[in-house]
Amino acid sequence: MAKQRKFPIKACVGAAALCAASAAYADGGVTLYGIADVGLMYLSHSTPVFNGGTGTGHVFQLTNSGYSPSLWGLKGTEDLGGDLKAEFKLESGIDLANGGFDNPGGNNGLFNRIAEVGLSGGFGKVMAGLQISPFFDIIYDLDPRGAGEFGSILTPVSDNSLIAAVFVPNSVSYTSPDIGGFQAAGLFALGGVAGSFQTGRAWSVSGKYTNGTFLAGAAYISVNNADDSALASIGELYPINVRAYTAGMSYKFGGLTAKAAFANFKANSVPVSADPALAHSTNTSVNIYSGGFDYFALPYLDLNAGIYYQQDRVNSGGHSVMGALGTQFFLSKRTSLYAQVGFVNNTCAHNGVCLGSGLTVESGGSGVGGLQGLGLAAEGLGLPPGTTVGANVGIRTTF
Amino acid sequence: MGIQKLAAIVGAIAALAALDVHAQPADASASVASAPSASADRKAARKADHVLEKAVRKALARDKAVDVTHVSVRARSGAVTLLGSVPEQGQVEAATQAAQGVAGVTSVENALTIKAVAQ
Repeated sequence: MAKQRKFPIKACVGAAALCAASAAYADGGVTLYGIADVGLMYLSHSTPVFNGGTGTGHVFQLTNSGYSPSLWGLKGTEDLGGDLKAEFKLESGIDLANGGFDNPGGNNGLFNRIAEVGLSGGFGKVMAGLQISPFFDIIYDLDPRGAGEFGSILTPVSDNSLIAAVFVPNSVSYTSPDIGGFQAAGLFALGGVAGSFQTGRAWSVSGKYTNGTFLAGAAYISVNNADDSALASIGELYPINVRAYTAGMSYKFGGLTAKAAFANFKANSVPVSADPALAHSTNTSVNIYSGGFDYFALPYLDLNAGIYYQQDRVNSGGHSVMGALGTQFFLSKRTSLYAQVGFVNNTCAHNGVCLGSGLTVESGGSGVGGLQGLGLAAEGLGLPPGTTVGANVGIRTTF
Repeated sequence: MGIQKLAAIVGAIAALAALDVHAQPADASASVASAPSASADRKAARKADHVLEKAVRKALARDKAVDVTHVSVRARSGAVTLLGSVPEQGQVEAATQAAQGVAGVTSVENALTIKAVAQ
């Protein structure tokens, strides 16, 4: 008995590579995948005036992730029989401009975007790890511009929550199966802080319905002690506790999809300031109204447009409007060329508090063209009111 | 560039895109026949295309193997084109199969690409 059991193990050691290879392919295998996206970008303003700074010059630069984030990952499934599957995904951001990591939220880990494992089957899907929130799934479904890195819903979401509403570490999620067009998802993240259950915890729920032509979706997220302060620059508010919800719908007609959505972000934030005296917390509440369309003029030529209006609910008069047009031409199923133009206009509130929106997420994390939240102009922080225009052209290939 | 000017451009392109949806089938059949019956035929053909588009979208929504959220369908006299994206490679082929199973579909061109959330 003992000898019989030993033999196949020895054979495996002798031909380790063969055994490993056959095991990987027999059960569904591991897939290497990714996106390489790089473009040239022009912005009419690059740096806001704050803390006595003067730079507001235009910038022309090579930009990583002009439309999609550059990334690579590994994913795989194992068929466990009886409709049950084990799944995993590991995903890492890449900065194509210099070959380094592109790390959302200052996460310097190797797999800084997604690291998850779980089971799926007829009951739905349960995953655990660093995951994308059900809230952001709905945000993506309701954005006419595909939640890209330039002039899309992603910039207002980033302005108001940095990455807290997108990437959720330490989380367990459940996604229901599609039942008659309805699908729901829930996520809970444990803070893991001894003595305080609330510190660092997050949760999110979503629901959507589609019959193929009409789609309606809604979602909520609540994050305590968001740990992404590394993303905020001086002059920005670093959101600590974020509460956000969104709801919207889309309708398809031939090659045209029209979308409209509403979102509200509330945050308890602290300004990032060189002067510690200014680092007191501020409550913010911002409404975001968005809409637009996505249209295929040809099977491989996509045109889309979106408009995003943000309204400061705490300081009257503060608002921001951003609009963008994009086109993407697919040279193949994997490779496309894109061109985008956009503008953003920021108007300060009557009391001098400035709400600022960036035009892109990928321009160094600061500046009128870049990622930014609310700023307090009265205290020498924040953004100047005014209009910024920008454009980018680039190439995106997937593998 | 002024904000109003940009808003006007956005509006104009949206309007053009909306017009174009109707313009294509009209151009295709305009040269064939004479006035009243031709326009009635055109209208009927366009309606049939829209009914088929809706039926294919419904079939894709019902197929558990396909996420229809970012897929658009264009039909022209039974020839169907699948446009947009699905989150996984495996769903591309599944979408073609689901579309082929719909009554009235004579051919399926699959122009779907891969794009998942946060990509």
